[in-house]
Amino acid sequence: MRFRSRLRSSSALWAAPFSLAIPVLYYLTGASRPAPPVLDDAAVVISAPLYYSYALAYAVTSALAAWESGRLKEWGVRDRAPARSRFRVAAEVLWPVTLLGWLVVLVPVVMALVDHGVRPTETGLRPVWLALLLCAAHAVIGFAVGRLLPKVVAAPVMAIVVWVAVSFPVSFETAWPRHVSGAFLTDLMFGEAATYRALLPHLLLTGSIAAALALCWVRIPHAVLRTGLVVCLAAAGTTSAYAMTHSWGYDPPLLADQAPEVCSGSAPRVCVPRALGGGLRPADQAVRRVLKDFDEAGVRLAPRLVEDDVTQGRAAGFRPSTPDTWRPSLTAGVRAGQPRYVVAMEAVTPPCARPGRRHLMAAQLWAARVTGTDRELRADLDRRRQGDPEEAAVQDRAEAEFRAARRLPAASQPEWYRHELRLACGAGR
Amino acid sequence: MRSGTVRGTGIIWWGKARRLWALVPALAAFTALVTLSHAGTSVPLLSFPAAGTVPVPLLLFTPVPVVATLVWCLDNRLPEAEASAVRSTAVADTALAVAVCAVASGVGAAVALLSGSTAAVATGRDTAFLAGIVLCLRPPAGQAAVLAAPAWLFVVVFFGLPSAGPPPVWTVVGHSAAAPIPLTATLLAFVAGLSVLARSSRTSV
Amino acid sequence: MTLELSACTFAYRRQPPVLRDFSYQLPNGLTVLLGPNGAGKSTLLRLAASVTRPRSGTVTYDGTPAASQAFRRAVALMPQTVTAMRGLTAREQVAYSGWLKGMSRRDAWEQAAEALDRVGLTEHAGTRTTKLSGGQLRRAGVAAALVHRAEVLLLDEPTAGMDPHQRRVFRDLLQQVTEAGVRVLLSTHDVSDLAEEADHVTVLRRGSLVYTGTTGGFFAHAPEDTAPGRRAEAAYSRLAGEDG
Repeated sequence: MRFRSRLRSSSALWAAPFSLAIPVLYYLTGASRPAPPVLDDAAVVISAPLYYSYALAYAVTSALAAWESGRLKEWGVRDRAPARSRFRVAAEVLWPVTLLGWLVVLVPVVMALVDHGVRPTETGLRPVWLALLLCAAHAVIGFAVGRLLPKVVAAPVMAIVVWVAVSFPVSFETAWPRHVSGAFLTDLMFGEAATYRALLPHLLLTGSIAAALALCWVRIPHAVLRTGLVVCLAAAGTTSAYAMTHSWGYDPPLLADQAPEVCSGSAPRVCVPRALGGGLRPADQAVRRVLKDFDEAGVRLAPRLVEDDVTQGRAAGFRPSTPDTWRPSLTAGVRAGQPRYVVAMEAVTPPCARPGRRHLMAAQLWAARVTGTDRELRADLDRRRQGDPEEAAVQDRAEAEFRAARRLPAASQPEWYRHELRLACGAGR
Repeated sequence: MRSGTVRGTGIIWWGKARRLWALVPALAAFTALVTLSHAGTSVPLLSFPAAGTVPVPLLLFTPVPVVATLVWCLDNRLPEAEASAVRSTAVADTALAVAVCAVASGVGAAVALLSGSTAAVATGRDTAFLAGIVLCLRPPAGQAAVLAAPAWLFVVVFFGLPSAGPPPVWTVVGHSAAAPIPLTATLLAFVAGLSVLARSSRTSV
Repeated sequence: MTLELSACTFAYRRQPPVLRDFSYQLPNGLTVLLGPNGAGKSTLLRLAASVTRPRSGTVTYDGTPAASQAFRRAVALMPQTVTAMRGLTAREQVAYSGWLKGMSRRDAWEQAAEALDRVGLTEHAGTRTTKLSGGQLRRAGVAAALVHRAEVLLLDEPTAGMDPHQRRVFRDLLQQVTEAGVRVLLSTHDVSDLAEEADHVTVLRRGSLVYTGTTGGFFAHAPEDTAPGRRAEAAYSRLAGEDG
């Protein structure tokens, strides 16, 4: 059938105004706009309107697919001995419906990208691909239900069931259902993006159910064999999805550092997010000044990369700097007027993940002294010790070690500093 | 020729023609859903007035299978024979719609009585309201009128539910059973739907 | 007593009128209704049966308006598409039709068996209508029209799907029915249905009456040199025009 004829005869045509009006109105009224400040981060800009589109898109697709299935049944397509395969016949009626679901997904996303002048990125678009694939899967599921039930019953029931089923899991205390529901509902922070690993369980659950239902239409002579294959396929998909996600918390595995950056220099290369690019020059100057101060004090540091940690999202603080790569809060430091301080503190990198606090603090006090940032450090330490006697005790011991180190000859202090970092790791093991 | 006793009364033939048996599983599913969700089980759904998601009681959605099945039953007919009939099926069809909504109301009341929770009482009113608007839309929209039920719920959830407090009166559904304006609106919608049903029972399509 | 349409206009939604200011009186006996596709034959039958109402004009039987119970008891329709009611057997569906026409349940049940016997469907009386073949379903539709012994029978392409034997049986049935005084209006595309049995012919074209009269008068419209077996077709072609 011609493209226009198929579109004109499809239920997607008369359902389109209502189905598209909701996400468009939602965006225009601000309900599904990315929360300000909106930075140049495609993943964040895309995820906000998409958050509100998943359930509606799947519900519309599923309901209309059930409707079209019922229409085919009423028309008696099987009695007309079609020369085309069942899948071809089904695809012919399902593509307009799936297209409508895609529009429900895409229209608010495009509006958001245009509105904020952000180019889509590969990582930012991953949840969109998921939504588009699952629209097709829900079309198959709706079509299968429409073969079993009258369309007058199947369509409204599927609309409600899918809408609720996709939206419900986010309210569960148990985390894993939200990672298989079909909706990637994680609120992305700046610099974050979805991993394929986070999206795959959604596809496994819904996709395996759709594939199993589609398998029912394949002409396999033995009913027992076909039933077995169908059950195995659905079970494999759902159990795989569960196996992948049952140990996850509320947040799935995410990518970090996905926001576009601007960088300067080399050895080290200093990078900040492009959206916050105004801080690059002061950050670069602070980094080079700190390196010079350490070098003059006899400690040679040679990081390859100094990258702002603001793009780490919720992983910030959980991925400590290494001697090769520093992750200071460059932008925050620049904005607070303390870029050298944040870099200096990040330069103190013990060779372990959980250093002992006393020795680390002593090393930090020395680093602050050589880089001229001890005023900022002491202000920070004073804030921390308020009302915390344990913290105060640790600070006092660190202070004592630092004072002892200050009495050492200048040539010995670098060795003391390195030794202190080793002790921090020995004590913190 | 086979002889034998008369199989059933005439109205049973109407009942078989309407395939009333389908209402049994539909009302059973309704009862189960109301029972499971009367305690306030809710699902977080997107709402514009709340500028985010709001917890929407699952009870709100329970009338949909019943209304859909009722419409399906009413669509099973001999159009020409019934349009030119001496015995009007309009009364029987109208009585069917009333009975279904009455049973839904009874189920809601029973669940409320047994559980001590009053939330379920409103499901009967919601069923009648949704049935009324679907029946009103059947002549112009045909079978597609049944989608007005979930569509109304979409509109109510998306545009009518605030983050706190009762929804605006225009939603009709989602209010307590005794709320006067929603109850009046339900009566009006239901009566209008029944009169449209009675009229359309007399026409061929 | 006759079925009469007076100045009836009917149109389907958002379509031009199918019948415009149409008047017609159904004669006695068997009248065959001919016309090309879209001429308005089914619409005429549905109006005459009070299944649909005209936008303007009146439909009466013996002066009784179409909406009255007396009219509906008197007139029966077999529609062009016979619905197979899922859940009903052939006998139940015929009986249901009779019950709708005001028969008591007992009478409807008994007469349904007799009606099915008249159309040769006795052995399928207990078969679900969804399991009947197309021809059997149409015969069940005829039975449903016969069950309540109407005074006027309106049959929309009743012989479609019937084999020659069944058509012969059907013609015999029609003869019995008309001899009993029932007026029959039968729409068909098969002009051979005219052979011998029909008393009158009515021809429609684009919603207008181009001929209504006796069968002899109809045949007279065939060209002089038409072979005897083709006279009905020739007369029809001439009356219905190029689109016939």
